[in-house]
Amino acid sequence: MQHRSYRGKILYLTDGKGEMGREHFHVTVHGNGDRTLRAYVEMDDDDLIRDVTYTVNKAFQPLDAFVRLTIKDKFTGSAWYRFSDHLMECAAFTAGEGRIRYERPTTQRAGSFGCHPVCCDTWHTAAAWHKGGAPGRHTLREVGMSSYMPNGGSGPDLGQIDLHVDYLGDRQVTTPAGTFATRHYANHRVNAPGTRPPVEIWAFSSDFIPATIRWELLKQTYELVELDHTEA
Amino acid sequence: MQHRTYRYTIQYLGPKGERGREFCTVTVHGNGGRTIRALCEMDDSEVLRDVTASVDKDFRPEDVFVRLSVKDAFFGSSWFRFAGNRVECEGFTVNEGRISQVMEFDRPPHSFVTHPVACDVWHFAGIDRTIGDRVQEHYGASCSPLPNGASGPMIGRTHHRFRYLGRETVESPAGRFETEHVQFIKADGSVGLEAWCTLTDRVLVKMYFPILDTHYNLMELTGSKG
Repeated sequence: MQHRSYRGKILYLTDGKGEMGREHFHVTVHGNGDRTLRAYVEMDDDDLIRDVTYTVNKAFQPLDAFVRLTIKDKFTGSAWYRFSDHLMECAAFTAGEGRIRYERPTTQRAGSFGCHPVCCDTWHTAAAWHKGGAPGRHTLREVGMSSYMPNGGSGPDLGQIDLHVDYLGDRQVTTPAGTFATRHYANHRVNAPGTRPPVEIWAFSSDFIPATIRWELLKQTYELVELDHTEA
Repeated sequence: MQHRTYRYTIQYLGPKGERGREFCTVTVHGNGGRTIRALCEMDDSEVLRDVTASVDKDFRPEDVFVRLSVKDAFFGSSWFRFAGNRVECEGFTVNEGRISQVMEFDRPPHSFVTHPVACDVWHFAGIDRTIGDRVQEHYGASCSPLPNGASGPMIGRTHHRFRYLGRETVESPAGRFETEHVQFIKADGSVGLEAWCTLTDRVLVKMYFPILDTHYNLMELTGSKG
C-alpha cells in the first residue's frame, strides 16, 4: 500500500470529574496529499457515540464525510456529505427529521467541516495554516457543520459558519503520549462573537495532531494519551 | 455508556504471505443492533476500504457507509439506507460521478455485501439451522459484484447459497473458539467460500476464499463478550 497511516487516542477530561469520554482516531495520508480520518468518539456524560469518516485534500479542505450518531443507546442519525468547489450537500436519515437532503451553494470550496471529533477542530487550524502560516488571524469562510450543538449531538445535518483561527505562537507540551513541539491556536466562531469561548488547541507536526485541546464552554480538556505516528 | 464494544484484527494470508489486514470495532446496543467500523487494506490490488455498517438484532442491514481508494487514489464514497424492500444509495464515484439510486427488492434484503470479510460471516446469520447440510438460498444486496469489492460503491442484487455444517471448535492466533461452520456454494455446486464464526457476536475466526487462494485469520480480539 502506498499510503501512510497514523493513529492514536485522546481522552476527554472534565474538570472535577476526570475521564468522561475518549476518541480513537486512524488517519491515512495519500500520495496526492488527501487524507482520511476515521474517528470513533464516546462522550460518557451525554451517552453519545459518534462515528466520523472525513476526507480532506492536501490543503485540509473537505472532500467527503460520513457522520453517525447514537445517543442514549439509540440511533440518532446517519449522514453523508460531499463538498465540491461551489456546493456542499448532505443526504441523511435522522430519528428526528426522517430522510433529509440539504444543499448549500458556496462561493468556493468550504473552508473546513465541523463534524465534532476534536481531531477535526485541529483540522480547522490546518486549513487556516494552509492559507498562510504566519502568527495572527486567518478566517475560514463557509465552514460546514454537522451540528451547531457544542457536543455535536443533533442532526447530523448541514449548517454553516465562519471561523477565525488565531495562531498564538509555539509551546512545548507534554502529555501521556510524549513531549511535543506544538503550535498554539484559538478557534473563534465569527457568527456569534462573545457567546462562546474559543477552542484552544496545541497541535504538532505537519499532520496537525492535537497534543492538548481546551474548551472552557464544556469545562473539558482533551489530551493525547496514545500515538503511533511517523513523521512524513 | 450503555453499549458494549469489542475490537478485532483479521489477517489476509495468501500463498506468498500476508496480503492484507482488517481492523474492526463493533458496538452492540440495548436493542441488539450493532455497528461495525472496518478498515480494510488489500495489498496486492491496493484497495483501501472503509465501511461503517449498522445492522439490527438479526444482522439485517440498516444504514451503511462505504469508501474506497484504489492504488492510492479516491475511487468512491457512498451511503446506503435500508427501509423494508427499498434500498437507496447516495454516492460519488470516479466512474459514475454523483449517483442517487433507489432499488426495490421483492423482500427486505437478508444482508448487504460490503466486502470486509468480517461482514461476510454476517450474511448467514439468518439461515435455517434445522435442515442439516442442504443448500439454502438467500437474496440480498451488494455494493460491488467484484471479488475484491473494487467497483462503485453502488447498489446491486446478490444471491447466496449457504450450506450449514454445524458447530465446531476451531483455533486461530487469537485463541480457541466455539464456532459455526458454513460454506458459500457456487452455481456449479463447488465451494466458493468457507467460514467459521463465533456464535453470538459473529466474529470471523477463520475463512478460506479459493478464488484468491487466501486464508483469513482472527489475530486479536479484545473487549466485552456477548
